[in-house]
Amino acid sequence: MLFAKGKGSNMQELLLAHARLVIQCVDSFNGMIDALCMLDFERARKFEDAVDRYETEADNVHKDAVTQICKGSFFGYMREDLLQMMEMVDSVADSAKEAARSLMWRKVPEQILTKFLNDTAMNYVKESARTARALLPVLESLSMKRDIVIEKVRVVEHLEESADVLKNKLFQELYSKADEYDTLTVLQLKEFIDLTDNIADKAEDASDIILIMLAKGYS
Amino acid sequence: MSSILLIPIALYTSFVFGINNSGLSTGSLLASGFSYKKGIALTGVGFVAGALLEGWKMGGTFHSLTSSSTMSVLVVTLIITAITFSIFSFLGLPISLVNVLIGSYVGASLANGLIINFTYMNLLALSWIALPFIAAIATIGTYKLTVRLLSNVSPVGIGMFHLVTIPIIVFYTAYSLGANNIGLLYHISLWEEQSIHLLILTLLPIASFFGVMKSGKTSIFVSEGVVGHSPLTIFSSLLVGAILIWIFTQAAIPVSLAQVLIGGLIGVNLYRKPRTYNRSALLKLIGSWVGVTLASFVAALGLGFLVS
Repeated sequence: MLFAKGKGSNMQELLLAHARLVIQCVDSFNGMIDALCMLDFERARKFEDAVDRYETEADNVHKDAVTQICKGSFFGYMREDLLQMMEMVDSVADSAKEAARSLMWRKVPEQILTKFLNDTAMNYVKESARTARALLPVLESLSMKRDIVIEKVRVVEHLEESADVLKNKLFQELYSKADEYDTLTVLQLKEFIDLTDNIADKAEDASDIILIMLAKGYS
Repeated sequence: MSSILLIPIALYTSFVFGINNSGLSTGSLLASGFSYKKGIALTGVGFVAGALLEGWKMGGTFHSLTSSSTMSVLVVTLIITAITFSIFSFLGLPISLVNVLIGSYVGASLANGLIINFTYMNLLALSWIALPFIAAIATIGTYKLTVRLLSNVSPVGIGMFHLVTIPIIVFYTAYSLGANNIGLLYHISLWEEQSIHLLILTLLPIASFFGVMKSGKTSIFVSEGVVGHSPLTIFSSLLVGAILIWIFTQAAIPVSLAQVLIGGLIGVNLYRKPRTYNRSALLKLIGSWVGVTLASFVAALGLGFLVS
C-alpha cells in the first residue's frame, strides 16, 4: 500500500493497540455477564477484575498515544479529530467498567438476576460487545481504500442500531415487570442497561469521527 | 554616493519582509498541523537558498522600469518600503513587497524627473491583476487532479502524502519567494556596486530569516483568518503559487506571493463546497493590496519631491 509504512503504520499500530485493549475489556465484561447468568459470582468477580485491569492498561496506552499525536505532524491537520476518536474508543472501556460495577457493587438478588438476564439481556450485551469489536476492522482498514473504511464504519452503525433495538426491548421488559422487583433493583438494572448502551454508542461515535477524518483528508 | 549607504535600510526591509511574508508559507504549514518551529526553519532556509541561487535573475526589473536611477530615488524607495512593511507587520497583515517596492520606486522616480518605461510598467500591472485569476484557475485544476489521484489511496497513505509533500512545497514556496522578492530587494540595494554583491546577497536573506522568526501574527492570520483550509487546498495553492513565482522569476518579473496564494485559495474554495470565507478578512487583505501600492506611490512621490 502506498505510503503505508513508517510513521503512518506506527500511528495505526498505536490506535490498534489501544483498541485491542478496549475490546479485551469489553470481552471481559461480556464474560462477567455470562458468569452472572450462571450465578457463578466468583468467576464474575474475576472477570470484573479483568475489566478493571484492561481499562487501566487502555488508559495508559491512550495517554501515551495522546502525547505522541500532540508531538508529531502525522495527521496533524486532523489532530483534534484523532484525539477525539481515541477518547471515544477509550470511553467504550470506561462504559464497560462502569456497567460491570453497576451489577457488582450491589448484589442483585439471584432470583431477580436470573429473571433479568434472559435472552434479550444476553443478546443485548453480546450485540453491544460486537459493536465495540467491529471498531477493530475499521481501524485496520485505515491502510486500505477509503470505500473499504466506509464499509466497515457502516457495520459498526448497523450493529449499534440492533443493540439499540434490543435495549428498547429490554427496557420494556424491565418496566413491565417492575412490580416484581424492588425499586432499588429497578434503578440498578436501568443504570446497567444505560451504561451497556454507552459501549455501543461510544463505539459508533468513534466510527463517525473516522468518517469526518475521511471527509477532511480527501477534499 | 556609494550605494553601500542603502544596505542598512535594505537589511531592515528584508527583516520586516521576513516577518510579514513568511507568514504565507509558515501559516500554510501551521494550518496543515505542522509545528511553528518547522515552519520557521523551512521558510527561513527556503528564503536563503532561493535568494542565493536565483536572486540574481531579478536584475532586469528596475533597469527595465528606468534606464538609470539616482541615490535619492533608491533611498526614498527603500525608506517607504521599510516603513510600510513595519506598519503592516505590526498589524499582522501580509502585503506584497513587489507592490510596495515598485509603487514607491515609480513615485520616487517621477519626483526625480526620471523617465518611466510605461510599457514595462503596464506589463507589471497586468501581471499583478491577471496572476490571482491564473492562480485560481490553476489551483482548481491542481486540486481536482490531486483529489482524483488520491481517491484510491488509503487514509494512512493520505496522511503520509501530506506529511511528505506539504513541507517540501512550503520550502519550494519560500525558495521561489526568496529568489523573486529578496532578489528584487537585492537589486535595488545594489544598483551598480559590484564588489559586495555576494555579501549583500547573503546578508539580505539572513535578515529575512530573523524576520521569519517573528512572523507569528501573519502566520496566524493566514492559517486561521482568511479562508477554510484543508491540506489538499493548501497543497494545491502552494504548489501553483510556487511554480508561478518561479516561472516569473526566470523572466525577471516580480510577483506577489500573497496575491497568488490568496487568489488560489479563493478559487479552490469557490469550487469546493461548503464555501468557507472570512469575508471581512478577505476584503481587508484585497483592500490592503490596492491601497498599499497607491499609498507607497504617493508617499514616495511626496518624499521624492522633498528630497530632490
